[in-house]
Amino acid sequence: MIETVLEALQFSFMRHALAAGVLVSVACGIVGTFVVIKRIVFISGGIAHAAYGGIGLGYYVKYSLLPAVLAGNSAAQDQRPGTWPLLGAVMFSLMAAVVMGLIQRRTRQRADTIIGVLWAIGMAVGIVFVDLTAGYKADLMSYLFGSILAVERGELFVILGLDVVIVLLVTLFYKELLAISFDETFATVENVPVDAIYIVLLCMVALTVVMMMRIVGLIMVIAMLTMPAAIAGRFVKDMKRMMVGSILLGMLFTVVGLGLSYVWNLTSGASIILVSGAAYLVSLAMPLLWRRRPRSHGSPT
Amino acid sequence: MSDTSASEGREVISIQHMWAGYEREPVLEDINLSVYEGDFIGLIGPNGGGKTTLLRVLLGLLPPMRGEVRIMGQSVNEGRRLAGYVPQVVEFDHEFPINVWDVVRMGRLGQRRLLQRYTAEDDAVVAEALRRVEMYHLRHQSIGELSGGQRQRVYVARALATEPEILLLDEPTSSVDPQVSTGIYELLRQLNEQGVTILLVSHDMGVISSHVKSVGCLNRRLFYHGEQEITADMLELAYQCPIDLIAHGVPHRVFSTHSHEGEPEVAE
Repeated sequence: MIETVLEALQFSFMRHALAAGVLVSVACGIVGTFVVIKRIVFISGGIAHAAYGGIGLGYYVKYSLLPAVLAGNSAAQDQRPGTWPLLGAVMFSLMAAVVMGLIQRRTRQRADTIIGVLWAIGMAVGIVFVDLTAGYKADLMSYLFGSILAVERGELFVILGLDVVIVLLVTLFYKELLAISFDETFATVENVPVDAIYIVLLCMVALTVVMMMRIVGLIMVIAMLTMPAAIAGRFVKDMKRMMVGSILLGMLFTVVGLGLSYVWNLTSGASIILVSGAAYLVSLAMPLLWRRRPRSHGSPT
Repeated sequence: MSDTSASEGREVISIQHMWAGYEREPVLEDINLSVYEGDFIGLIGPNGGGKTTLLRVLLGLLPPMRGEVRIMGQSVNEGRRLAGYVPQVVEFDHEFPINVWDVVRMGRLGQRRLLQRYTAEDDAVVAEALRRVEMYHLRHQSIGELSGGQRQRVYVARALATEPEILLLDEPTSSVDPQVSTGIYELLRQLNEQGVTILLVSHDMGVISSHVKSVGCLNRRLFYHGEQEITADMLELAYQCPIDLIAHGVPHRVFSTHSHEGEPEVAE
């Protein structure tokens, strides 16, 4: 067991993967808590998928636009996509967050339909950009299903930076975020700028989703965002503790999932999701077990 | 209970010729209302009669179509800071991770701007509000673990924590059983005796009329004259049809239809 762990850690990609998983869990736990208690899972899914448009744009810029502009430059010959798709994804997801958030706030009805439409348009834009891009694009699937093993050192700093931004925003606007999550009408009456705070929250979702895309992939982002928070929420009834709990659970799930994927040679994103999903199902079943033995252990924390 | 029209105090709320509604369809027509300091007014009316709409206008959540609404002489968006709002508890997320103290402290949001932290003064106000509703001992309890009546007390405390000139309550007893409901009205009566001005709306005329100082009827139009008793005329005007009146001091009987001057057009 220990030998396997040591062996795995000799690979720099394994160390990067672990670091990425742990770092992303921080943002994921904090933002996921808001997504769960404010019930904005659907709009978060929309933001995540719209981000694919940005990935497509990033590829297009990197492999078609840049080579055309800087013909012959050695940087343009680099086969790796670098940070271009990531930048595109950040841009698109932030745009999606603002647009979807405003639509949700301004229109009375059918907001979910419009969000669903934007969700699909975002993805379609991404696919068309990739079609327009000439040459090598095998690595594209990694954004759909995650590629935590391919995380590069530079990306770790990007993730760390985004973590800092999110922790800072939540610290600064904690009382307002809590207020709009709990009772938006009351927050409005108390002259809290509820729309602005809500958009800030969605932008945090956008940044988190982009980071997580690298870990578990676009398709499974929402599961990874919500499961640790949902499990933590079953055991603690305080938002700060729920955040800490879901951060720790997120770290645990990514590390265990990563380990299993290494040992059994499985897709890392899927392993992480399965570990989280199994834990979530167990947490759902736990009250049934307690009911049978009511005197054991005392309060669940 | 003897002084029915406590009109010697300051005017807290002033509504003049106010019309309000949604999508051009008025729900409230030509509302005129003055609430004075020390009042304890209950407005009753059928569901869909515009009770919640009236509160939404007072809280600046819905701009009126016509007319003027002032709270302590200010526009609603300014003056609503002086109103303590107790919402109708319809749906509630029992899983929401928050305790009683943090809920009541939200009453201090209006006093603290963005990026400002709550202060020791806020804590003192919150503690005082919780003591007034006798919920201080449960301040660490999670909100989902409370009974309906306790939760309603917490919302009253949150409204008190705004240090309001007036409490606005929407169906304060809709989600609790009759004994608990009596307890909540008793609490409101005590608060009123301590000087808190109260305006509440409810469809439950039986309970309301035995606790408030003055009652009115609201169904598109408002029938309020600062009287303590609901009169048959008021009810008939408000409800547009003869109805059973089961209320404080009035025997249970059915009123016959009779026309009345100024009767509004039949709406529904």
